[in-house]
Amino acid sequence: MTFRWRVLLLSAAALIFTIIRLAGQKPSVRSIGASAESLPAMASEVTGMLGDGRLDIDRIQTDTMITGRTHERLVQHHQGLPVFRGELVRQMDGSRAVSIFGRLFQDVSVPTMTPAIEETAAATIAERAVGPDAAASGAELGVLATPGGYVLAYRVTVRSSWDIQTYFINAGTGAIEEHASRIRRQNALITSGTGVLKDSKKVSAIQTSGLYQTADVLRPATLLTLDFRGSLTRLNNFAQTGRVFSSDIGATPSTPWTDGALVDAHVYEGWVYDFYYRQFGRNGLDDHNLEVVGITHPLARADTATYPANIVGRFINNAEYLGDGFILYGDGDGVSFDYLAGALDVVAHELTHGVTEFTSNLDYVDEPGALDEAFSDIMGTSVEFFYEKSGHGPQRGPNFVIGEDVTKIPPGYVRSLQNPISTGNPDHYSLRQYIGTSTDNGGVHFNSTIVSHAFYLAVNGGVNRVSGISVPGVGIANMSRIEKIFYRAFAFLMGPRSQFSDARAATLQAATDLYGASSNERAQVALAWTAVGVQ
Amino acid sequence: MRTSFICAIFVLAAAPAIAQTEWEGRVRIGVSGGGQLDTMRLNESIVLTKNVEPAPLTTSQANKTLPLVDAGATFRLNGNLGAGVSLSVLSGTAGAAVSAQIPHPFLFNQPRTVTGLASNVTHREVAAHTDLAYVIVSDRIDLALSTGASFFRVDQDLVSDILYTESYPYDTATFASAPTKRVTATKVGYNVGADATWKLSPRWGVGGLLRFARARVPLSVNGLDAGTVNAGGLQLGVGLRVMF
Repeated sequence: MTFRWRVLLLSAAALIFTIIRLAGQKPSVRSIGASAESLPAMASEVTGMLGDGRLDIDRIQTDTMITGRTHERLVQHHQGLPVFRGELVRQMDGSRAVSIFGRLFQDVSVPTMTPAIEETAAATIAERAVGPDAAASGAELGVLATPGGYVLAYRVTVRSSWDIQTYFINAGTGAIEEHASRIRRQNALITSGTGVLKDSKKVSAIQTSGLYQTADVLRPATLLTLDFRGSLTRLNNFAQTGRVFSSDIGATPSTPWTDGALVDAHVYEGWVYDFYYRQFGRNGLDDHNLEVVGITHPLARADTATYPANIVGRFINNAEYLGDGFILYGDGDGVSFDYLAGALDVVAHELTHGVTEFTSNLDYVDEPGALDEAFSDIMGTSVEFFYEKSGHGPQRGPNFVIGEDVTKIPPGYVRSLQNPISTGNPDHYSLRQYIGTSTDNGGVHFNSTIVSHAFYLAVNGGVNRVSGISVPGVGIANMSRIEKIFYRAFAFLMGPRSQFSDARAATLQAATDLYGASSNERAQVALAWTAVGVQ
Repeated sequence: MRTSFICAIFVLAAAPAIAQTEWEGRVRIGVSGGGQLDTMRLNESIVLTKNVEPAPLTTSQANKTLPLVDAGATFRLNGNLGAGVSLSVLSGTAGAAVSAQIPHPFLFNQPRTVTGLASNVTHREVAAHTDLAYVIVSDRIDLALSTGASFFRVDQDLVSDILYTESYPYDTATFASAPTKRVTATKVGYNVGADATWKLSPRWGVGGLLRFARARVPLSVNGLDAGTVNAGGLQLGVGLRVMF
């Protein structure tokens, strides 16, 4: 055997080994957080990836907080197909990259890029998996990272009576690779109150055919508030078809409105829209004035005893963001919770899930899911502070607990940003639980308080119970400055798979962007993250 | 005060001509043209309801002299004492400054100030004056001093609403127009005055009228109390006099 043949054989062996290794290789994720020293090299690399098609610009958001800046969402591609959840966010100042965050899958490789099954077959598989009432809408082909390696898969959205789910169907075998509910839930916080708490509010409505209806057309985004009147039939019809009818819109022949839940849902959704506009220049959930549809009385409180516990927990003692601007507010059973729409922070929490949906689109599982929940709690609290001045409002002023207006059972709220342990939630990263389990989707609610507590410390100041680290905070009077930092980070700088450490990096970048690298705001945020154990 | 001062000057100026002779005729008729000072002091104040909150609105006009026509007759009762009746008519149209506090559409207690001008606000007065008069007669000049009740009818344009433009987030609102509505009200007031006649012949003369008449007339528009308007004022006029 000549030397040339030996080289050829060795090269062939190496090639075969590489193919085998790639086929069986488990996906690995490359975390990218470039904002300073590493930025020039990373920016150059990203430019190259855009040039050769490994990245594609999915959408560009105009920065509403710093003039002249934009945020590009760059989706990872492999041979022309999207790699699901591989995404970078590149902050641009004109043609100059300011920061790059996100996660990309490495060594992507699939045996074949040709699907063995059609889109319709994938949709059918998903529908069958959900049940007889399911309806799939569209199927997108892409590359999915699974524990066993990369596979070609369809992403399918399936609506059913009680859920809206995303399914990933293996495009080669037809197997269900994974599925998850798109519903962002918050355990019920009860409110009482004319609202529910008998406080007078202004309701933006329309009048047609002698009826007043809860349709707000005075804001750039139309806000519709529906009244399902506790009808299981209406709820089922909506869940199956996703359609609503004008007869579903809350109505009264005369004013003032006396349905507290309807009033509060409608009014608070408007207030939340205004908050995002005034504080961040944001135009609704998707920044393009997506119509918001709130659903009240999905099931009647009076019928609580007739439903199983899981239904009560989901549609009566709960509020949920359903996706695409739909929010559902349970009646509360009157024992544990009052009408959930009666709590401003709860309404703001749910609508913020919508903001997340159209920005970072955090995966609703594990740490990304906890970030999703934390961001909703942070903004829910911020909205409360924006509207409720000291000494006023249902609780005589704003506070750092969630759902206090509607929670009837001790401790009188569902989570606390100030003292997470009061509801059994962690106040330090070392206490996180359920990651990688099915409990609470990997602890999305449970672990969220680690992040929201960091926000609290950065604002109000305090000593972390576990670390003993004292954070001075910027003070309540400067709360909006920290709000802007967190909003900027979550809305512009983070991606679907962001972890707590990414959130830290993103908030620090946001603080630098807004107030400077040596600002007190940045220092307080950094110290707050350190205090809760997130590096 | 100014009115009283002017009246006093008028009377004193006429005093040297008084020869204290008897009023020989039965009727004195006068027709004058002139003006009424201090007219149209409109200070309308109403409270509208906008965005389910009270929206106070005020309208004000600067004082203005309006052209006046006055005609009347005085009948001798006994000696130099007589009874008179006269009718004065005036009308004017001018702009009025409008200011309103328009509540925010979404939140309580966050009013926005809107100001503008309501154009063509008309004020019209017809007053019937019934007086007791004392006529001081001389060879060349007669002076009739009178006082009595005045019956006013006021036709007044009042701002009944305010239209404005606004856009999200509704932190400000801009005046568009102020619709008006004509209202009519009557009120009894008083007058005091003097009429001097320079006799060109035993029957004919020319004269000057000085009268102060006043009534505070309450107005309402669309069932809303709009405050009061000062009807009358200091009236000055010159014209023909006929004596029978």
